[in-house]
Amino acid sequence: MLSVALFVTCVVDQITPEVGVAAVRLLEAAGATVEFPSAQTCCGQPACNAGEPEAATRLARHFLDVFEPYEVVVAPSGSCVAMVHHWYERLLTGRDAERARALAARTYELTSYLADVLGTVELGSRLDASVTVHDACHGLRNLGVRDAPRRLLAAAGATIIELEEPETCCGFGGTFSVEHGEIAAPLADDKLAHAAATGVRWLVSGDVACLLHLEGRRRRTGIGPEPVHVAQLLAAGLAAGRA
Amino acid sequence: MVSQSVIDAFLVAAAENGMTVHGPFAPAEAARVVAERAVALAGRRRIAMPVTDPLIERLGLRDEVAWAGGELLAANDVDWRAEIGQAGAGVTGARAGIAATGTLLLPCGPGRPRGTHIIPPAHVCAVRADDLVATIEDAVRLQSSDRHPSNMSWVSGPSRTADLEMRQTIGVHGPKTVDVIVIS
Amino acid sequence: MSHRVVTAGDTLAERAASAVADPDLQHALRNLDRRLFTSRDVAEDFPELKDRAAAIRRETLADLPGWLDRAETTLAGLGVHVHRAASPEDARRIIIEIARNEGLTRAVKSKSMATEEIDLADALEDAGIEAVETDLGEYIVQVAGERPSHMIVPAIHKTLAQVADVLQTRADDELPVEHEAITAWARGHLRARFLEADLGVTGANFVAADTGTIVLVTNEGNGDLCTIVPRVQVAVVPVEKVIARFADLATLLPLLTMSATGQRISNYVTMINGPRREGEIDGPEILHVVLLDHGRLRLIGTAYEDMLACIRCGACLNVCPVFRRISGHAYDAVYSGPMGKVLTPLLSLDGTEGRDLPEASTLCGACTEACPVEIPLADLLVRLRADLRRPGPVDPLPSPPARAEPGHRRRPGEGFESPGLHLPLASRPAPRSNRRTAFTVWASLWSSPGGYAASARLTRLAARALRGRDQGWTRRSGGRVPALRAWTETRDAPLPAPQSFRARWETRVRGDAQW
Ligand code: SF4
Repeated sequence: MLSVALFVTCVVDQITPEVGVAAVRLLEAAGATVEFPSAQTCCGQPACNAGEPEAATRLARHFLDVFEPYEVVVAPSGSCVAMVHHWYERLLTGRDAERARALAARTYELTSYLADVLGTVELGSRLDASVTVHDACHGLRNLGVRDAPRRLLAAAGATIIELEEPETCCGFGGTFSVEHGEIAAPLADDKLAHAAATGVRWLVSGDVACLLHLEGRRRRTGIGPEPVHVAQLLAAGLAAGRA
Repeated sequence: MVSQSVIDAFLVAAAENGMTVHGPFAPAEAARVVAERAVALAGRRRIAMPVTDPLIERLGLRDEVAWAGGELLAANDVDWRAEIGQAGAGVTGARAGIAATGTLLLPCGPGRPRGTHIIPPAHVCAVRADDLVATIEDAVRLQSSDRHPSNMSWVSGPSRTADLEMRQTIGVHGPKTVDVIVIS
Repeated sequence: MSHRVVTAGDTLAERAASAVADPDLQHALRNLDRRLFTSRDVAEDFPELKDRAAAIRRETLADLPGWLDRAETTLAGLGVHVHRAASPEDARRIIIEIARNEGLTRAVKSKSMATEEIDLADALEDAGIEAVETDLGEYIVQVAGERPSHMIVPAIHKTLAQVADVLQTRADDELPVEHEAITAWARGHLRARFLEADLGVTGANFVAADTGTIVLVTNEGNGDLCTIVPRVQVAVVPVEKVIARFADLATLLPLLTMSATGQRISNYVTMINGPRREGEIDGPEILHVVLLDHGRLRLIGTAYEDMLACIRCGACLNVCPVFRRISGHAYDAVYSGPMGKVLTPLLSLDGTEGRDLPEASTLCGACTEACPVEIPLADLLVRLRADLRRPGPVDPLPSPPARAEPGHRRRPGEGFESPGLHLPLASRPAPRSNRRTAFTVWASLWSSPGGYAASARLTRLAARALRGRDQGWTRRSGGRVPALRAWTETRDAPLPAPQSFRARWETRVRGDAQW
């Protein structure tokens, strides 16, 4: 039986647990057994990107200790997985760097794990919805996640209408979004306006942080379709698929 | 012998760059076209020409231009420096041309001043089909096999700027027109 | 600095805010969008060129001091006077001395970021030498008393109407707000400057060490003009512009022009091999090259060495979401955009300039992806954020032993010693000690499940106070939590969920819930 350790990420754990629930349901629909290592916390990315490598390294070591026993690690966030892939081997040295490389090789972003690794785009989800996809930056550029969410959505029957500049950053950027709200907000506005122009019901992405930033802005301006995590939308279609 | 495909590629690329291409013509015909174009573009102003450019010498272009009614400003004229700013056209012969990019290679030397192709408002350039090379890499190699002149200009179109709202505008400093005559 | 501040504000955040709020600027910047797609398409078409270029650049950088020596020898062999300048002050002093010795009074300049870096036009004017920019965009910003806002399109921040207003101050007749008319006026006006100039000032896109060839790339042809008429030419060459071989141009030239403007080749490529020779009637009689270090050589053999591979194509600016919104002036630095955010603090010998720039990035990585010579710009920004915690200039890690070993090599920086190099550490901004403390505490809590659970419980308690009618979101300022306050200025903030994922997982494991 296929066993997967879910790294739910700190943001999902604390703020949007429904995305974690959705991830579990999708993995199970794909035939996997999901384990949740309860000692998990955060990948350390906030510290790394804030220029605090020492703090980030502590979290990286903790992540290694927690997830090393598992054969496959999956997270519903391109950004956190990119942290494991790109930065761990740069933050850690010697044997730890080796451990990090080995673990990174079996750590996957959720949609690409389903679509590319398992090769399962047909999960039994049925969506009668129009969506547009924002390619979250780190998943896209560090991991090459581009087609996977679209293939899953299309297989579920969703109508995908591409927004203008799908690959341009939404303006979140971690500490940037608080240090430079004056730029982060207009970048969110651009993204929401491009999404609004497609006339779709949902603005889909694979990273919760981007979605919270976009939704936070949308609640002020009222512009744009509702941001939703790709896992949540697909999981919502599972019930319809069963019915 | 240069292949027909290289010649065709050069003609297409040069035209894409905004140059007016003529030919390929046999040498006598080419000389006539160069002179005609130069005289037409210069109006009543003088036509600047080098005096040691091998291609211009071989084609007898200075005589040709004079016969066509053009007034010469030759590189060995004492008033070159004073007059070049008022010249109506500059005529050059290219050392080579690059097919991939539609580029003319213009070396300078004694009797072959740098200003001919850039100071007058019109530039007319002759290039032998046999001197065309396929790529930038070929041109770089060719140049390395020559002795490097004190100045080599690669010209790939008229003077152009996109500094005003990113819109292409022609003739900001150098020539507004570049005519290329290919000699077979 | 005599440049007029165009985008007002004391801090980067204030300048960015005024840039975003400036409708003319926002309108003008949309013109840059056209460039975005050109250079990206090109990069997709020529991946092999990109790889080759990246390798060529790294190979030269690995022994840059050696190639500098080689370039100096070949240039001198062609009759070029070569100078080494450790700092902008040194470079300015050298050039003004040249002008004074030769009795030069009228300079024309072709576009060059290096001369911006050393603020040469102003220094020449101060020394009584008229210095006119000849690239149309540069000329516009010079007349306006501004800096270029983009290294390839210096006046991208101006609408056509604003350009006409600026140039009207130099024109006798009324200038129509029309592209061709303005270009034609500039041609006539600047042509007169070319023909009377006695000093031509240029930068260099490349200098080939094996042949001594100085390469200038332009579309306007002003590079040619600046090196044809004036009796004396000075080329200001930052050390990393030196390339090993003339043959490398076959790769680097098309890569530069494609990344910069989407052209297969620019309209003019000028290759200068020494001054005018016997029997020639134009071109500079005297040619000087000023090799500028300005803190670059100390980066060789460090993690920041990659930054010296930069060929100034501007591609990273064109794709940067931040640059595309705030434009170059908001950075208040010579170099802007992603490369400017990295280079500015690195070049700051006293550690006072550009310290806040690395923060102004979402780390989206579009710059890294666009860079034709594969500079990991986003990674370097992360690294700089860490290295800038210490006060003073960025102190790059010492060379790894493998590189420092060979004894015959020049020590980086050798030959560039100058009293100007060791400046006192003036006005060092305070290190970001608050952030550091916060993350240290955070890391010690979150690297254990118990600490994580405790802090999550606390946050949930604190958030209860903020929870209003609107379940899950707050619009309130967050009071004493600065990050929350900053966030809620422009966005509602999400609150912790009533039940965490792990709590829900435990319920499910106990069999109390079905998913
Ligand atoms: S960093 Fe790269 S993309 Fe940016 S200007 Fe330099 S070479 Fe071009």
